[in-house]
Parts: sequence; structure tokens; C-alpha cells
Amino acid sequence: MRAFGAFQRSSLLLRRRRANNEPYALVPSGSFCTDNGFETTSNGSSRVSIFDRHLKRKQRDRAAWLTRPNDSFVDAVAENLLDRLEDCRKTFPTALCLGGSLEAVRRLLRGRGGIEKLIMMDTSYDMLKLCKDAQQDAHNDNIETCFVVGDEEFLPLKESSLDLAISCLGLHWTNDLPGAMIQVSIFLLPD
Amino acid sequence: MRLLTHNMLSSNIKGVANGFPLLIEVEKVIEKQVDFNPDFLKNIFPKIEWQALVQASRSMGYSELPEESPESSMLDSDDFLMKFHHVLLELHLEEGALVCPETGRKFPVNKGIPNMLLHEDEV
Repeated sequence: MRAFGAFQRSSLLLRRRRANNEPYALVPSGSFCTDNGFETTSNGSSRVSIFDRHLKRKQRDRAAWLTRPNDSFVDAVAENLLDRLEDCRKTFPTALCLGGSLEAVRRLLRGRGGIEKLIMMDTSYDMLKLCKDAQQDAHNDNIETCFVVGDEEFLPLKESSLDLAISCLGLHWTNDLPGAMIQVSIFLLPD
Repeated sequence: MRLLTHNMLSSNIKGVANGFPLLIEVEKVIEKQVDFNPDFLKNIFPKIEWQALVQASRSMGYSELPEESPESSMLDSDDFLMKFHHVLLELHLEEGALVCPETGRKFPVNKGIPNMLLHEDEV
């Protein structure tokens, strides 16, 4: 599936190059999507979709019901990620947690990174609800946490409003990963 | 959803130049007591878009915040901090919608969680 998507993407690129006889360049747009430079495909959409986002959301909604609390594998990955915060001298008052294992990140944060305000974002409402309803220990009591249903490819945030963006196992089903990264960099405050 | 969250959200529909601040359509507002933390309030104050917060608090039925963006000296006044604390952290929009200021598109708020997902024709 992934290989097919990549092939489709490169073939579109070739067709475009032949048509204009000029190299492909990123076209800035309101949504900062890197796919916007491509010509329109037969189904009327100009974006190459490797993953069915709608289906993925449904799958995550369902997964929320089946998720085992305190999964040791997920905890190990989250712990590895959050451990890096201890290497930074800087503190990050406002942080965004993008998709994936939200609950593990929230539970294992334990005051690291000097985070005061944490935005949990996921495409799945049920995943967020699960995270919101989970019991929190005392370490995280002073973190103001908010929950927003949002798409990592189209972040609904204000520019330059974040100090940190983390994602624990949450970006491998993104269609336009470079586009998502560009957006995250726009929403981060410059150092 | 608290107004702290609202203050960071923006409409990201394709073609919308200025999707901030989102208007609030209220169905149900609840209040939840939160411990007063003056240090947090002082840290967060410079990052808050004051006009957006005042506008949002009015639509939630709370009108005691000053219209003009307050001087930073106001942060020493406990009275002001309590109001700021109440608006920012204790007022929750439980049910309702956030409305894009340009297109009028409504983003529903369900059990306190705003849904900012876009339809396929909006991206």
C-alpha cells in the first residue's frame, strides 16, 4: 500500500515536470500542504492519499475501547521519548502532544520539561475521551491539560504558540508528513 | 473546553486568512473549581490574546474582565488575578460550537472536547 502510494506520487511528479519543463517547487498555501503542487487526479482531489483518514479515525475510535491500560511496550516507547526532555536545559511551558499514545505520555510525563500547559490532540474523539477520563497521579496535577480533536495534517492552532511538540507513535499514518512537520514548525515559537 | 484552549485555537479551513479568534456558540456552560495558582497565571498572561479572551468570556456570560488589555502591574492585584483565573480555567464550554469568523463553519464542542476536524472539501 505504502509502496503503491510512493509510486503514484513520483509518477505524478514526473508528469508535472514534463508538462511545465521546470523542476517541482513547494507551493505555499493556506494549509501549508506540500502536496498542493500536484495536478488534480481523476477523482478531483489534488492530494495523494496513502491512508484513508476517515477509516483510520474509526479504527482509532474502536481501538480506544480495546486499549489495555498501562501497556508495557507503549510505556517503554513513551518513556524513551520523554526521557529526552531531561537532556534539555530549556523548559517548555506550552506543549502539544500529537496523536498516538496520549494517555501514556500524560501519565509518564511526571513534571519533565517544565510543561505547564499541555494540549492533547488526536483525530479520534474516543481516544481523547479515554485519556481525559483516565486517573491522574499527583505529579501532573499542576499541568493544565486541554483536549482537542484535530488533524495533524491541518493543525487548528495559532501561529507561534507552542514551545514543544511531541508525538509518541502518532505520525506513521500521516499522508503528508512533510506538510505536518512544516505546520508544526510554524506553530512553534522561534528559539 | 476552557477559554485557555479557545485562546489557542484557530480555524484552518483552506483559504481562510484570519481564522482567529473563533466565535463561541453556547449551549451549556459549566464551572469547575480549580486551585488558584498565581504563578501559572503570571506566566501565561503574556501569551494570552486579551481581546479574544474578553470576547469569549462575554459570550460565555461573564462580563467582569476589562475591555482594554491590562497593564502588567495589574498582575499584582489579587482581585484581577481571581477574575482572570476564573475566566481562563474555571469556565468550561461543555456543549456548543466554535464558529469560524470568516466562513461561519461550526466546529462542534462535545462533552467539553472541541472537534476541529475538517471535511474533505475544506482542506
